[in-house]
Amino acid sequence: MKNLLIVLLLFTIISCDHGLAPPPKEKIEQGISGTIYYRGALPDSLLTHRLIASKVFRKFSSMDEIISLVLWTDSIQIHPAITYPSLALTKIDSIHFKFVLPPELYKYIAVVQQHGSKWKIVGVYSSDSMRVTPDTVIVETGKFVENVNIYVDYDNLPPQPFSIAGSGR
Amino acid sequence: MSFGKIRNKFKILISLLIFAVSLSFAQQYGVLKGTVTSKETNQPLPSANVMIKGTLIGTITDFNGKYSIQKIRPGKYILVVSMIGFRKEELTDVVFETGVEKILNISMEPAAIQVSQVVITAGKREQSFAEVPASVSVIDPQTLQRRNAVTIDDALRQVSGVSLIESQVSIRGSSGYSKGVGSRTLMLVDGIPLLTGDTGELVFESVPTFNVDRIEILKGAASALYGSGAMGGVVNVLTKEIPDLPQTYLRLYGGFYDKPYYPEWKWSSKTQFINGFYVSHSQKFSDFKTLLAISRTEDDGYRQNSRWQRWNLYSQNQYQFTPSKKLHLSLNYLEQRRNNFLYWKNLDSALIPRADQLGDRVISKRFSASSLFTNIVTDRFTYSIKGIWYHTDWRNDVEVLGDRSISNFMDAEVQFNYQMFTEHIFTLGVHGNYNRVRSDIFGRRTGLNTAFYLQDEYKMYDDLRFSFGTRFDYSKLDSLKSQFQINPKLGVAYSYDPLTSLRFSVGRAFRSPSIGEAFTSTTASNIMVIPNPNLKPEKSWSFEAGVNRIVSENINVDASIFQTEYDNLIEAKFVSPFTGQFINVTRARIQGLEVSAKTSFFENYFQLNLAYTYLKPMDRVENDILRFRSKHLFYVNTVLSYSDIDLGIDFRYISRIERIDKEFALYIADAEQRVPTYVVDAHISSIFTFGDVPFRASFHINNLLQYNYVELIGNIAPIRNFTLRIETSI
Repeated sequence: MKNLLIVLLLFTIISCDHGLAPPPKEKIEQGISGTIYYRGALPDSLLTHRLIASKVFRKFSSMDEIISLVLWTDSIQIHPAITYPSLALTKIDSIHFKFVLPPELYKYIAVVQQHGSKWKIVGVYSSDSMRVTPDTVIVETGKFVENVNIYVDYDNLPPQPFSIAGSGR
Repeated sequence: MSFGKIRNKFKILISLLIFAVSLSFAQQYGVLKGTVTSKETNQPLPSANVMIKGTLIGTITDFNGKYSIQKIRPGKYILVVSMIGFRKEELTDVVFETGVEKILNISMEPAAIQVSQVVITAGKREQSFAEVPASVSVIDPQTLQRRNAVTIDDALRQVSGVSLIESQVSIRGSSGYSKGVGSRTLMLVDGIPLLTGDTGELVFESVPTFNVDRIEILKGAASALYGSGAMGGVVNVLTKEIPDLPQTYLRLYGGFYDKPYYPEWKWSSKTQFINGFYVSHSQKFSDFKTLLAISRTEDDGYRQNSRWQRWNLYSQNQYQFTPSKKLHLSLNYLEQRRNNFLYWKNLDSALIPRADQLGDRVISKRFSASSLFTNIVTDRFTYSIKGIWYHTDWRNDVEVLGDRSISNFMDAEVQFNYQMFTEHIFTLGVHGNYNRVRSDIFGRRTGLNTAFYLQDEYKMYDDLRFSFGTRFDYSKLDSLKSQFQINPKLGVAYSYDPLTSLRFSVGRAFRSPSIGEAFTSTTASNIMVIPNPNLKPEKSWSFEAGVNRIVSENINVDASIFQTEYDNLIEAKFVSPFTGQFINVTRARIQGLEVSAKTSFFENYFQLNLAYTYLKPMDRVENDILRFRSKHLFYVNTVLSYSDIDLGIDFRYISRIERIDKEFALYIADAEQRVPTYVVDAHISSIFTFGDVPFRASFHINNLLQYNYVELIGNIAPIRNFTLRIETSI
């Protein structure tokens, strides 16, 4: 009986740690920040946009390959949804973002659009007017790289990383 | 074998049955009447079981402790009287003579250990605990009374071997998580199934808790008697007998949620309240008894967008044609409005949903009408006819899609119990149900299931019983290929000595996919769910061996080992990163052991119940642990009783869910954030009188230590909350 009470007491003490907690605020964060600018004939709704930051850039065989890299490796980081299906994109000019990332060299930063199970790239961080060559960003510990601005132009979508340039629409 | 030959054999069987019944009718019978009281207080004991050993007849005492048993064949019998909280009484050499009415008043002595003596779920008839070859847990009326269970699932959380992910019940690891769709636990109310027609899920809100007498949980496969749906086990909710005297019952409760433990999680400056009331009145008019009830319950929710509100109208009626023939009719209407919190925004804002979920809500209306006719034809032959019509209609405003689903589920069963000689008790029945669904998500679908089952309980010796049974099921779910299933079982119960009983059972089980699993076509939270018209039934073989021993006057120990082999297990799975589908995913094996102890100390002032379950749920294809399962469950219940005051503390530990689908991380921030469960609930209750009216007041603190955990990823479980409950009965 005495031992049992000790065991119960131990469990009670364990219960006192309060379980899940918000992430500590003082943690060192780094990443990129900037603005996504929307242009062109915007679809009105039912779309989800996310940001991805990839350490690799090559011709991917399909969008699923990108998603697999997101899931099973740390090669590509993904940001939670920036826009939601219920958000009318037509009423938005721009969205500011802050993307927490591990310190690394990122070769490809893009906005991906989800409609049901279909995905495509709609914006690439690039200073090239055709947005064929993505700009790289070096994220250092404890620092945010600012002004990583991305243009999403529905009249002129960028080439998909896995298809022929210009056929992304 | 041709259909004609089967029909002829069936005719012969029926003729034999009628012949046997006629023989039984030809005899004259005795009658037994009396009152059951407590030896300690001399007060009458309602709901005590009075059974004549070795026969099919017995009864339950009424509100005044009175009982009456008709149609007792002349002879010498043993009368068994049992009730939770009292020592079982066995009166030997009770002699009945033709046409004589015998009066026998019985006084029962309080027992130290709260062991339920009679269960009805395991064999579809009343059996004493030692006769049952499977593991059964019982939530007794006192335990239900102590907890302020708003819905049945609140009460199930402390049952050994049972765990819940939100309201999805998993008995010994049988279920993972699939948003409630396709339950492997069959939910019965007074033996009548209560699963929704479209998703095949348990809807706990549909069961009025204030009218529940006890809940029996049959663990392990039970398809040999109950068919599809009982693959993991059965939860049978048994309602109270309608009292003979006019009675009005009132229960009020109110409370609130504490502030979140972390200030970062506070999402509202207002307090979130919980409140509800139940009112019922019962009356007897000659041979007709009725109970009418209304309840309203409301919860603001401890998370943003998680408020719900329910109205429930309930009526239970009983007509007694003769002392041995009666009809029950229950009507139940539930209307619920519930906001829909799907997943948190992230762990930083754990009590706030993602912005796109704000305003999502589900409105549901559910109606059921069920009936049960029982007839004790002789002391060796009884039959029952039962049926239910269960209508559900829900619509949601999730993601502005406005989906709606209407389902009608009809189920009917005729069951015969026949005792041949003294050694064999046969249970046989025919069972069928029909499903009709009109839904934006599932389409227009129908489902049909018919079955025949037979069981023989063979008493080889007084201390050794065998139970053989099998069930034939034919099912056709809309466009899916029709299925024919045979599920046999074998059970052995052996009383080693008066204090020790051993049990062993082995059986096959199956579960047909629900309409929801086969035909869901929707998009929610960016996940597209697609139908699977090639879905097959899942099947399993399971075995269990167990022992129950009364170690001393104060200690009762139960231990069991079990194993289930699954084939074609249906699981929700990502077939591409953002597309989910129910598929026959795997072969799986769940092994485990369960040990529980009921103890009582200090002259029954202090009761302590412990239960530990170890599970090894393995996916044999991926050679990894099955998703959404924990390995360890450990529950502790304590009650300290003094005079009219009860103080109880319940503790539950559930080890961290080992594995989830990694794809969840794509659309739920911090999806991997989960911890073991350590939850402490406390309650204190007391009886007092105001004027001449007796009241029971109780105060409950759930999650006393403010432990934050998730049952389902991205969903913090209820934080600390306080409730005061007052109830009275006049």
